[in-house]
Amino acid sequence: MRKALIGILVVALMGCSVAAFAGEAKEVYAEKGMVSSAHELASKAGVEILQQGGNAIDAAMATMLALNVVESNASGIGGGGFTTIRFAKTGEVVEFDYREVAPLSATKDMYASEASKKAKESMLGGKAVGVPGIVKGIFTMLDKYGTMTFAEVAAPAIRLAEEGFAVHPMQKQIVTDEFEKLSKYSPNTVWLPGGLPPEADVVLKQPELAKAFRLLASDGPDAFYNGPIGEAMIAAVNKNGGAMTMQDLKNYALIEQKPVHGTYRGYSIYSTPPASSGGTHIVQLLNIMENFPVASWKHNSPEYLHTLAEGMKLVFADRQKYMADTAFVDVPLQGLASKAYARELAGKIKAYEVMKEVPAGDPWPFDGENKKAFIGGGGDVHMSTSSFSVVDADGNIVASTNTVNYFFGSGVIVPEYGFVLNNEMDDFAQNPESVNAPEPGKRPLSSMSPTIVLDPEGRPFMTIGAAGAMRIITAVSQIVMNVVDFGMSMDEAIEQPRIFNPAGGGKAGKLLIEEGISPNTVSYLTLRGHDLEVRPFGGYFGTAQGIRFDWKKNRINGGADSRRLGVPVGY
Amino acid sequence: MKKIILTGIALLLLFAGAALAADVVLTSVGQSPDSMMVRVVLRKVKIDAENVPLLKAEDLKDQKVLVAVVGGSSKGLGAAGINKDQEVERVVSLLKAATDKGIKILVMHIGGEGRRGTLSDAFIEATAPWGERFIIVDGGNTDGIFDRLKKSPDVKILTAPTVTETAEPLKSTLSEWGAAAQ
Repeated sequence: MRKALIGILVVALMGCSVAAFAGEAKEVYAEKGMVSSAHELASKAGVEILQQGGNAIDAAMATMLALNVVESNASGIGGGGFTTIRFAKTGEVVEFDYREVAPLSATKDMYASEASKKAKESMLGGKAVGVPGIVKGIFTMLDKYGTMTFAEVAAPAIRLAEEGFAVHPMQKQIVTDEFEKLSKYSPNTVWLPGGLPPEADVVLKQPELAKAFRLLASDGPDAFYNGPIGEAMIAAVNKNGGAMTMQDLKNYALIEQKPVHGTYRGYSIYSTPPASSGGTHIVQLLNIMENFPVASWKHNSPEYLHTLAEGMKLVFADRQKYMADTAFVDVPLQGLASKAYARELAGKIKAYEVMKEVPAGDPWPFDGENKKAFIGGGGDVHMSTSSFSVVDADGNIVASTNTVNYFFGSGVIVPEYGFVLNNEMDDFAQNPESVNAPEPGKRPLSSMSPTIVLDPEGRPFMTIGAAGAMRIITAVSQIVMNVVDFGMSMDEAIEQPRIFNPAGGGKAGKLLIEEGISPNTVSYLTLRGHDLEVRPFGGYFGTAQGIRFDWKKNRINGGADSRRLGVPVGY
Repeated sequence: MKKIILTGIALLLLFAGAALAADVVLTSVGQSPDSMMVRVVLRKVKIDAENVPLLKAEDLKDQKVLVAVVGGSSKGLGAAGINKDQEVERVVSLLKAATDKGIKILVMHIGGEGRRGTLSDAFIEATAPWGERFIIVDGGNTDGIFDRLKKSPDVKILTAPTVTETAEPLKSTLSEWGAAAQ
């Protein structure tokens, strides 16, 4: 009877379930190259390098450094990240992991005590800081695959830091939101002129940061990992309660590896392997959704969102149980990304039932490895980070996501060099029994997912990445489906309202729905039994930047999220 | 000797234009960091004030002025372990107690347009009827919400273009109310 009633209501509601646009789509088209980042000045910095003859890797490094200047709150040389690169000539795709690692002083129980939790030591101050990897990442990627020097690609960022840029109202609000943290740990930062957040349109100059970039240009990465920048950083960390040494910096090693690879309806997905969970779980969620007729459903219709929400729960239950740094823990990567396992999970999704209990699945039989049991978990529930995409005239592609974790990271800004220190230690689990507990040299679990998609003919189709912690996984997956299943253009796909449905501890979390999704659909989902909450359209649901290839018109199509200050710039 | 030292300290405070330390107390209404920012502004004009974001009615002593800085923050409420209704309950109880004790109530809104919306407006609705003066940074009252909610037409609404520029109306108001040196 209940099924029948709901069925009638579904039919009634389906007719008016089309979602309204939540964000205004502003497509950008170009013929040669493009950078789509979370700030127009950073996109322009990348395009400046492309126009000087640099390749996509050069432009990406210029964009990354410029983002450090104009968006210090989100990413920079005091943090880390992941970059996925596809080379046009060979078709090879590589992945760079320059994620922060725990210092040698780390212990599994370092955040386990009630006192530590109360003091928020994993989030605030020196003890929250992981050993940064981004400088090593930039130099390594430039050396191996770029064509320009650090000095050349850093020039736009140095100019922005020395000449300043106008603070946007959204940035003023971000500084205001982080005022307590900044005024406690870095009261003299340029981000608090006169001790207060900068007013909108104030021109903010960062001479100390420019000094750091100039020193890196003259002395190379050793200025950071074995020199004055590192020494100043260690002093700042330890002054604020941390325990890091120059040995930690000297030990830092990045990882160049093969990306996670999966397919979705014939499209190839290349994304990040651990220490990011992102790529694997994007593939897993898309694999689950491949078992349903998504393209025949209306976009953001009740049946689509119900199925998607149920799929998300299954993915996050697995993420919590299995995901961690593979250098320390065996993770069933093949199993999680397997089509057969996804089919098994898809079988658990019922059209007229909402899962309340969501135990993790068992991907090991699909992995060809021995079964192991883990206790997972980790923070990673905040919003921050910055993702961008670059395409050059030769067709080389870079997707890059970088972060200092929370906005303004640990709150500690190195006074001599003006860069924000991450609080990536908060991405470890506080439970010492977890696979994701802190250990010396270990990478904390991430969700960052710079992703490159090829079409069924093997041609570049799209590059996409997002900020937003675990919502990165759901944002990127929904954008991929918006383009592949619903035929949307790049920005149209990015601007659609999204959903997020976590699960953990064997239980379903709340279904979070972004404003812009039809109220009728929300009513249906409520009636169906979803415990849901509608939240404002905004950065919580992830902020994405991407570039799509339009082979029919031989052009590229950029999109950047209005939930942030994203702007694609092409030429 | 003791008298000389005490006189010296008194003179020093007077010439420094320092506030009477216990005269002004700040609280947040909505747990945004805005009350901390008002404290920074007060320090700049050498007025000392305690900022107690979760100030309760029973915490009031013999202060002359309670500055209620309105601005809702989900993050702040979460960190304080309270919800919107609990915050409104605390604040209304505090404002009533302050009124009963004859403590002047200055309501400030410094977050401009960005600190408006469903959450902040709920706190404005709860607080504004108690205000005996308002200092509002531009953008926070474009719809006239404070004009609509103030308890009488005589209650002044002072404005400032930026947070920093609230210093002057703050100083003049606190001086007028005997809570800061003239």
